[in-house]
Amino acid sequence: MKKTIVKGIWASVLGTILGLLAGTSANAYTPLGCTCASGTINPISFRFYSVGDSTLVTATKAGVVAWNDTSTPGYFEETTISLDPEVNVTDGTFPTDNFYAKISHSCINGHFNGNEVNFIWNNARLNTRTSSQKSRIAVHELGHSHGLDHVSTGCHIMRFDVGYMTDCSRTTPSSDDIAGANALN
Amino acid sequence: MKITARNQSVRILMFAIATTSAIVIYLFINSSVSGTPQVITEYSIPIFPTISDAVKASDGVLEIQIVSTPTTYEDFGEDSKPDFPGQEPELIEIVNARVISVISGNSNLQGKDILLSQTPTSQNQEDSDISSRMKNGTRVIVIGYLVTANKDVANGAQVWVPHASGQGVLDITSDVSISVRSDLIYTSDFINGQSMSRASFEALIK
Repeated sequence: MKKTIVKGIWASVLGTILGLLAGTSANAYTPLGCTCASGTINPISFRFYSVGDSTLVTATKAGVVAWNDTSTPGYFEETTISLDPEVNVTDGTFPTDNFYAKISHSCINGHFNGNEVNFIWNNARLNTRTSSQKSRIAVHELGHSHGLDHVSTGCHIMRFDVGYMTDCSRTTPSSDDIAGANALN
Repeated sequence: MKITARNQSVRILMFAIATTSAIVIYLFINSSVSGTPQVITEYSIPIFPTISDAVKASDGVLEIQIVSTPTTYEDFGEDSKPDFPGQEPELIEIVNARVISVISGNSNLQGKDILLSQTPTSQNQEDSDISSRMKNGTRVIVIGYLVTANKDVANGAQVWVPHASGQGVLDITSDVSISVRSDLIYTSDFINGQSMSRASFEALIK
């Protein structure tokens, strides 16, 4: 009886370890917890709202190409009218805040509220960034609209320090970034 | 145990309390799910590999004491207007601080009062930004730069902006020791326990 109990405990421990191992993804992506509404991502439209700096238009479009060249299930397409799902792109000058770019959205039942996200460039911080670095930031922000959150390590476009990475020259989504976008959409 | 009418009443009362509690908790959880969804913001921010890099990209390194609670401003950029319907303003907090000493930069600032910006916690964003917050009365070391705010923020005053994600706000943990608030920053400078002597810090930035 005692042996049976001990065996049972060991089996439970082993099962728990195996379960944890099986549940640990080999991929490095992190889900944002919010995506476009199911079945709506072809295409994801993006629209420029009074973007004053032409280099940011170029960078955003380069970011779009970088994602559209991958095997992710949704593709981005520029539009001049509101078509959901939608990425609203604009720029602003926010000297007292310390970001290169940001996306903001709200989430209802795991999907972007209104099927829209806002993508805002901060002109006040971008004067030190090269065109390549701006493109990299655009790829990163668009990765959020694919439902990806930040990662802290590895040479991935969703790195939290994408704007100033010194150990990685990546300008396009990594295989893990792409795997994440595929898994989440 | 003999079941008396009194025991029975107590049991019924306990059952009623438990049931009511469960219903209240259920309603609370569900009401927070179905309420107005919170705006979530994800930032791409400058992250410097070393303190030396951060100092090079700054206008000064100041030991300061916070002397006010924050005032919150809404910032839509230079034109003060949203660019598209539904655009949220950038929320910025401004705090007053007294410069105790100038470790690097304009020495005339010593003893003067300055304005500092920080991101409000009400704006749901990366944890790293919360690590930049400064409490009234505390002394910290700030690595940052001086900017002219938009007119809607502190009436367009000159404001110091600490580097983001705790890179610009270092805690003074003792007379001789300082520390960082996140283990993701300055990893080559702050090893083991995330603190270093003030002398080592000052040697790093010279």
